[in-house]
Amino acid sequence: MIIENIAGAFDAVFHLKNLGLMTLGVAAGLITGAIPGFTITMAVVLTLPFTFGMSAIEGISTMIGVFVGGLSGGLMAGVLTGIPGTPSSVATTFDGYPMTRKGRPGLALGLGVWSSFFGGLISAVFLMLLAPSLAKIGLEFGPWDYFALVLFALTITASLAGENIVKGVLAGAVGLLITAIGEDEISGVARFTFGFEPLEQGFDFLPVLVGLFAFSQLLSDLRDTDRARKPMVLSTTKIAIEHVQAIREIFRHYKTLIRSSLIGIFVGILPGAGGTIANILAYDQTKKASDTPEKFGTGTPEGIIAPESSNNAVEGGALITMMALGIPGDIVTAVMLGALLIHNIAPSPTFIVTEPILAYSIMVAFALSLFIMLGLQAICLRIFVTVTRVPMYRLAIVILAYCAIGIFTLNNIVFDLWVLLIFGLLGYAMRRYGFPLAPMILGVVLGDNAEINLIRALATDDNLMIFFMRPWSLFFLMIATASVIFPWFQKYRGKKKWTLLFSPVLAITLSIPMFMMGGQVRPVIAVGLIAIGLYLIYKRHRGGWELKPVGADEHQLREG
Amino acid sequence: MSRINADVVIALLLLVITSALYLDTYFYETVPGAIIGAKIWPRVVTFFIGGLSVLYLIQSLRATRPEPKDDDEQINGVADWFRVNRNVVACFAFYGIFLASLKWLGMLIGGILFVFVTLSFLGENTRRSFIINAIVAIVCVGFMWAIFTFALGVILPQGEILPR
Repeated sequence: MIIENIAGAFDAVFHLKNLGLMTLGVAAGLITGAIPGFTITMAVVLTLPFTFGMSAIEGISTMIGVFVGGLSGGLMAGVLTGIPGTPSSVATTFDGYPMTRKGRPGLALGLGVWSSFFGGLISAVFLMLLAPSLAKIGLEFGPWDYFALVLFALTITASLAGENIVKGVLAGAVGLLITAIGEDEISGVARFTFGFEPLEQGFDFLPVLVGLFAFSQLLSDLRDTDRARKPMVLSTTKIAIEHVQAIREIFRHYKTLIRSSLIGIFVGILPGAGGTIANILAYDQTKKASDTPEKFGTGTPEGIIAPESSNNAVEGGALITMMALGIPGDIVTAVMLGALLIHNIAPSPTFIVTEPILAYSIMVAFALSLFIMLGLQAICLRIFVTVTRVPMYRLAIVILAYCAIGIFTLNNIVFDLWVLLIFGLLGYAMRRYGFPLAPMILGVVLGDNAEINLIRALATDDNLMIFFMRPWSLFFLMIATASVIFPWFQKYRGKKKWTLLFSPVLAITLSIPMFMMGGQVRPVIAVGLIAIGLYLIYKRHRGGWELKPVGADEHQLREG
Repeated sequence: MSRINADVVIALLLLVITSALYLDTYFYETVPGAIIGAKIWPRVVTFFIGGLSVLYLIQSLRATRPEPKDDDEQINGVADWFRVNRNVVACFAFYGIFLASLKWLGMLIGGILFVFVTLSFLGENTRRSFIINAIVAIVCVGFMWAIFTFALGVILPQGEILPR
C-alpha cells in the first residue's frame, strides 16, 4: 500500500509541469532568501496567490520549493556579506563569514549547500517514517484533545516567539478572534459584523496573512530612508563553490551533521518553533560537544555544518506535525496549511489515509527540492550578486504592487485589498510595539479548528472537567502550562531556586497522563519519566540545591 | 511617547474593544434547535483577550522604563512621530489612494502609477532616478499584469480609461 502511494506520488511530482514549477520555486526561494530583510516566510506567503490556478500537488510542491530554496539562499548572504539573508541562517554567519574573509568563500558556500542538502535528506527520511506513525496516535484524539492541542500550539509559539509571553498569547488570541468574524458556519448568525455586509463572509486567510507578514515587513524595511536607498553591493563577483572539498569535510564531521539534523527535526516537530531556533541551538550544541570550541567563530567547518543542516531539517519535522496532526510546525507550514485549505483539503490525523497521494507527494517534493536546490545554487549565486545592486526600496515597492495583484486573484474582489492594507497596518503596529506575529498567524490558521472542536466537545458533554480527565487533553494542557512558564524558567535559570525543580516536576507530572493512556508502552514511558524526575531531584539534592550560572555563550531563542 | 505609555494605551484600547465585542454577542439571535449557540466561541475568545489585556495593563503599569534598543529613536510628539515614520505613512497613503482609484484607473495604470509615485517619493530626487523608476514601474507591473491576464486568465480590474 505504501509502495503504491509512493509510486503514485512520484508520478504526480515528476510531472514536467510540476518539475518546472518546483524549479522556479526553488530559484525564487534561493534569491529571496539571499536578500537580507526578505524572509522565507514572506517568500512563501507571496507564492500563495500564484498557486490558486494550480492543483493542490503543484501548489504545495512549488511552495516547498520556495521554502527549501529560501533556507539555502539565506546562507549566501550570510557567508558572503556577514548579513544573514534570513533569521534561519544567523548562526551560519558566525563561521561562514570568517571563512570567506580567510579567502575560502567557495568552501564556505559548499559546506552550507551540502549541509543543507544532507540535513534536508535526513529529515525527509524521518518524515516518511514518522508521519504515518504519528498520524496513528492522532486518530486517538477526540475534540477535547484536539482543542487542547491547539491551545498548546498557541502557547508554545507565544512562548518561543517573543520576549513577553502575555503579548504572545494576546497575539494568538487576537488571531482566534479574527476567525470568529463573519457568519457562523453552523447557524449562519452574523458575528462581529456590526451590519457591515462585506464582513459577513469573514476575512480570507490570504490577505490577512500577506498583510500581517509581508506588507508589514516590507514597510518596516523602508522606514529608514538611507538604509532603503542603499544597495547591498557585493564586492565578490566570481566565486566557485568547492563541492568535493565540502563533501569531504562534511563526512569528516558526520556526527555534527547527524546531531544537528536531529535537533532540526525535533525543533520542527514542536509547533511554532522553526529554523530561527534550530540553527542557533544546533550551533550551540556543536560548540559544546566540540574538542576545539575555541575555533568557533574563526571559520571552522563545523560552525557552518551545524546551523545549515539543522535549519533544513526543520522543515521535515514541521511537515510531520502538519500532516499527522493538522497543526503547523512553523509559520511556513501554517501558510501551506492555508494553501491546502484553499484547495478544500484539511490536514488532520486522517490526512495520510484520505489523501495518500497528496501526503506522499509532499514528502517526495520535499526530497526532490533538495536536489533541485543543489543544481540551482551556482546559477542563483550569480543572480543574487546582480540583485544585491538593486536598492531595497525598489524591490519592496514592486513586491507591494505584486501583493495587490496576487491578492485580488483570490476572490476577484477589491475588498480583499482593503483587508490587506488594514492587516498591513496592524502587522506594522504589532512589530513596532513588540507583539510577535507568529502566534497571531497560528491563531488565524487554527481558529476554525479550535472553535469546531470546542463546540463538539461541549455538545457532547458540557462538563469542562473532561478536559482534565482525558489523557491526551490533560497531556497537552500540562505541556501548554509548561510552555507558558518556560520564558520565566529561561529568564531565572541559574538565579532562582525554583528553576531547579522545573524539569523534574514536569517529567513527573507528565507521567500521569501517560499512565492514564494505558497499553503497554506508555506506562513504561511514564515510569521512565518518573525515574528521570526523581534522578534529577536526587542529583540536585546532592549538589545542595546550588545554582549554577548559565553559560555566557548560550543564546536566547527568539523569533527573528 | 515612551514604550511604557504606549503599552498602557494599547492595553486600555484592547480592553475597550473586547468589552464592546463581548457586549455585541448579547445581540446574536438564538437559532431554534441549536445545542450550542453561535455566541459561545466569540464569548470565550473575547473573555480570554479581556483577561489577558488586564494582565498586560498591570504588567505595563508595573514595568520600569526599558533600555532603548539600537534602532529606537527618541520620539517626542505627533509631529516627530510623523517625521520618523514618514516613509511608512506615505506608502500606506499611496496604497490607499491606489486602491480607492482602482475603479477608474484599473490595476495596470493604477499599479504603474502607484509604483512610480512611491518610488519617486522614497528614492533620490534626480532625473536619472525618475527615469529608472518609470521604467521599473512600467516593466514590472506590466509584466505581472500580463502574466495574470494572459497566462493565468485572471481578469484584473480594468478601470474606465483603457478600452475593454
